[in-house]
Amino acid sequence: MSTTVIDVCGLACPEPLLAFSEAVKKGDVTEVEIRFDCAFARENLSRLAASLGWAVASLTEAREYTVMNLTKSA
Amino acid sequence: MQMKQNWFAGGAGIAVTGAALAAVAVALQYAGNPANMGICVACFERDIAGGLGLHRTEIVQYLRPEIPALLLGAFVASLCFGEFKPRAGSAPLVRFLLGICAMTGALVFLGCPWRAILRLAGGDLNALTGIAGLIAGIGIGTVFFRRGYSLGRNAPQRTGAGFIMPGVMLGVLALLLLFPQIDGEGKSGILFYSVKGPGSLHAPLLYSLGGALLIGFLAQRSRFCTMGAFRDLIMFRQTHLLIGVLAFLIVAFALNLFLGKVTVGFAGQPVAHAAHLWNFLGMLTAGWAYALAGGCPGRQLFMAGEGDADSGLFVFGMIVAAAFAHNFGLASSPAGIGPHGDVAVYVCLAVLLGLSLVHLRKAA
Repeated sequence: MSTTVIDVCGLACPEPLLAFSEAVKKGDVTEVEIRFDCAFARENLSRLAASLGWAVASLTEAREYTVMNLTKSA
Repeated sequence: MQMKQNWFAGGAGIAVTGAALAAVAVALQYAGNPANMGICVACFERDIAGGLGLHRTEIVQYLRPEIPALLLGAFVASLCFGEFKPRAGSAPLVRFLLGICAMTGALVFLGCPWRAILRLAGGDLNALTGIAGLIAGIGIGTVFFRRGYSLGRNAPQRTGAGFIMPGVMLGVLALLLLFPQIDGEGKSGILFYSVKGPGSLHAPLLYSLGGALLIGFLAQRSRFCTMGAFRDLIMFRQTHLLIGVLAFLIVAFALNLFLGKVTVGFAGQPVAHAAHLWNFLGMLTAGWAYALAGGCPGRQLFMAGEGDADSGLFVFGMIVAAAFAHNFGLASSPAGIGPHGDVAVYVCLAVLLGLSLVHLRKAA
C-alpha cells in the first residue's frame, strides 16, 4: 500500500481541494500526503476530508509549506 | 507539530465576521455613507478612481478610506498570526484583466457581492436578480475549474515585496489627509471631491477607518469570501463560508429593520436600477471573473494585504476599469444602464470565455 503524494504549493483554493478530491476518487487510495502553502487550504482540506470520510493523521509545518497526511476512515 | 488553533476559521468565527461586517456597514450608513452602501468594495474603488481624477464623474469622487483600511487590517492580522507570505507570479496580466471584467460587471449591476447583500438587507429586490447572476457566474467558473482551469502556481517573494500594496494603501490615506475636503469645493490640492451625489456622502474618517480595519482583521482570520461561499457549495457541497454570508445578510436586515431603513420593492431603490436582465448579466460577468481569480473584491483586498501581489493586480484592474466604465459610459446609474453598458458586458463575457479556455489544462 503506497501513499499518494500531491504537491499543490503555489496554488490557491479551490485547486488544492480539487486535487485531493480527484486523488481519492481513485478507489484504491487509502493514504494521501498533500503539500500546500496556502494558509486557507489547511482548514478547507480538513473539512473536505472529513466530509469524504477521511481523517487528518498528521500535520507538519515547515517554513515554506505544510505537509498534511490523511488516511481513509474504515 | 501541533495543529495551530484558529478559532476564527471555525463556524462561529465566520459567523462573527459576517455579523461584524453587517454591523460596521449599517453603522457606516447611519453615520453618513450612502444608503445600502455602508461598505462596497467596487463602489468605493470607483470613488477612489474618481477622487484621483482617473474619471471625472462628479458625483462619485472620494478617496474612500475603507479600501486602504480593509487591506491594512488584513495585513496586520497576517503579520500577527504568521500568515504574511509575499507571493506573486500566477498569471499577473490575466488577474489584471479579470479585475477589469469584474469591475465592469459590478458597475452594470451597481455593487460588489457585499453591496448586493446590503441592498437585499435594505429591501432592494433587484439584488435578488443580481445574486442569481452572481451564483450563475460562479457556477460557470466552477465548470472550468472541474475541467482543469488553473492560472498556475505563484512563487514566494522577498519580504519587502509584500509591503508594496500596504505601502500604496498608506499612500492613498496620506493623500486624503494631506488634501482634505474643503466644504462645498470640488477640488482640494490634487484630489477631486463630490459636492453632491453618493460621493459626497461619507461617514467621519475615523469611523470608516476603524470599522474597515476591524473587518480586514476579522476577514483575514476567518477567510470570509462571498464568491467562495457559493463556489464551495457548488463544487464541494461545503457550507462553511456560506454561514458567514448568511450571518451578514440576517444581521444587516435585522439592524435595518431596527433603524427603520427597510423599503421593500424594485423601483426607486437607492443607487440602483431595475433593468433585471442587466442586473443579472452584470453580476454574472463579475461572478465569473471573481471565480476565475479566486476571490470576491473584498477577499482580493485581504489576500493583497497578506502579500499576494497577484491579488494586488486584480485590485488595480478594478480601479482602472472603474475609470474606463465612467469615461466610456459603461457604468449604470439609477436611470438604467449606461449607453455602452450592454456592449461592455458582451466584450467582458467574450474575454472571460477566452481566458477560461486558454487556461484549461488536461486534468490529471
